[in-house]
Amino acid sequence: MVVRQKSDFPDSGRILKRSKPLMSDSALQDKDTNDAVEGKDKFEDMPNCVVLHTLSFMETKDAVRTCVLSKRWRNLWTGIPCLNFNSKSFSRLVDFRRFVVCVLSRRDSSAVKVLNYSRTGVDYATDQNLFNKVIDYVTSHGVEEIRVNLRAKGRGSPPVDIPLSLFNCVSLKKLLLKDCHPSKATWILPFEPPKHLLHLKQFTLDPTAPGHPYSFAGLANIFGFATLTTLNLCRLTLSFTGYETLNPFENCLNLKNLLLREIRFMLEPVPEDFVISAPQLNNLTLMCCRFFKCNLVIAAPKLISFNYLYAAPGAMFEFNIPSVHNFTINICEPQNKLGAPHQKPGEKTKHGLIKMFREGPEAELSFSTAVVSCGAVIMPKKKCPSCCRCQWKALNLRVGSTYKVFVNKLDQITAYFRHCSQHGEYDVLSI
Amino acid sequence: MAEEKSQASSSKMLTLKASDGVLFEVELNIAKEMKTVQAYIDDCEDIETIPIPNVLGKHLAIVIEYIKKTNEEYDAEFEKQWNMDDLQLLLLAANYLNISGLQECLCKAIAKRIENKSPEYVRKVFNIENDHSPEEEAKLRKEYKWAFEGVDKD
Repeated sequence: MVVRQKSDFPDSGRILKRSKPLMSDSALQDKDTNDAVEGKDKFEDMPNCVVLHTLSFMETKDAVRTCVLSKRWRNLWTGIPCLNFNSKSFSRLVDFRRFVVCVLSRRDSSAVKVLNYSRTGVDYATDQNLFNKVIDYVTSHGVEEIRVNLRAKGRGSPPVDIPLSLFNCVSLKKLLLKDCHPSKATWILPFEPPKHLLHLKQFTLDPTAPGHPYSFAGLANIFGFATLTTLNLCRLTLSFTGYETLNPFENCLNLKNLLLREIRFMLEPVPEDFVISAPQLNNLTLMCCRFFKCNLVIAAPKLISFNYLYAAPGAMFEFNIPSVHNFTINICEPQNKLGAPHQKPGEKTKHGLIKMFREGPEAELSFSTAVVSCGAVIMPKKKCPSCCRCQWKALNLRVGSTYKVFVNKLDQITAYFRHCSQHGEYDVLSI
Repeated sequence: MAEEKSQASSSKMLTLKASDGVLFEVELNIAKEMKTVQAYIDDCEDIETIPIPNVLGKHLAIVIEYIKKTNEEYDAEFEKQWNMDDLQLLLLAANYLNISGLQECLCKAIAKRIENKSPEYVRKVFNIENDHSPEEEAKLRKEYKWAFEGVDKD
């Protein structure tokens, strides 16, 4: 297996080496230089690595065509470090299959950095055998990024087994699975999870048909989230079989960025508390999620920004963060945009409870069309030693003026924050 | 010399001399985006004018502008202004000067313009001489015939 070590493209690709220390006039007279500048052979002057870089942005089918251009180009395509397979460019799926197999067999031994595999078919089932071949090939050629799209016409996302070779791939950093339902291949499983976990930095799961239920534990079990720094889960329906509290990310020791988009629980059972707490989490975004009947607890100690966008009204959440520095909260509700039928203008929306317990030098809270309940409901817990002694330096509260009710409660809200911090300066802006 | 070094380097100006003699005064931090220039500076610290022997003035101007303005929006519109000849010369420049962002942007742009074109078109645009014999070419076209379906008409 050949794996490129340092840079993506070898240094030998530089056309003219800088002569040292100063360029003499005679160097400027160099004939080759003048030819390049005059533009006689432009692309022909490009080193192979630059040509391959350009071909990486094309579909592999188009790149292969360059073999007829000239003798130089005959086998150039076999070294492209990016494989872009798209079944849409073929009139028949069987042709697509032949094309993929042909490319894999003709390619040279150089590394594949990126695989884009898109097999969108008529059948509900995907071609598992072809998928295995492709994954086996790229994982043995040092792949770093894999993007898969297996959308089936009509029915949505076919099930697919993830081959063992993917789990054993030490070079893989980013994985995107779109429109498919992954499960572990039926290989011989030891009782404990495999010692070698995927060293994924970024994982995105985005199936189209939200009917198929997942469990967080199941996903973590398949893919091993311990090394992830970025996790995007989109359009998933989650099944929950635990007790009252769900805290699925607590073992994601390296997770910095988390996006949960269009996530919902199956109707029953629903956890009472859905805790989002990962030790290194900096950025959390929840978008269009429906956590009906479930209390969202944000307890990530290093959180810097929290975005809660286009969620169903009536969501309840609380923050339980020991210390906050430069924390930005952005809560945004649609104004009848996303078709939530029960949301009428003027209707009081109880958006959530916010409990801030400790100090934070600077925090920015921006609400557009939201109501914050505060006052009697928010009582700091007695056991918290530093409650009521927040050291907020500044608090900017931007309030959308859509709901009259909210605007009337401004005094209560500012009183609450003043109560939390004796030292703060407050700036309440109405938009 | 020691005093010069200890001053803030971001306000220091550097002169780049294009192949046709055009001079460009740029801030040090702009010039440093060109890794080739950076290496030059690292080697000879006293240098004030750096020759760029194989990039024309007009292309060096475009490259410098790119470095100053690059962001998502700018990059998306950047390539639309240039014809294929300029794109290729800019790519040669970006490669020589070792500016990875610009090289990526240009490779993408060139790929987009040729991706569904016939080999004849591509040969013309890149000025490639076809040194395949007719038999060799026919053999390749047959071998990869699925690659030649659905190509744009010239």
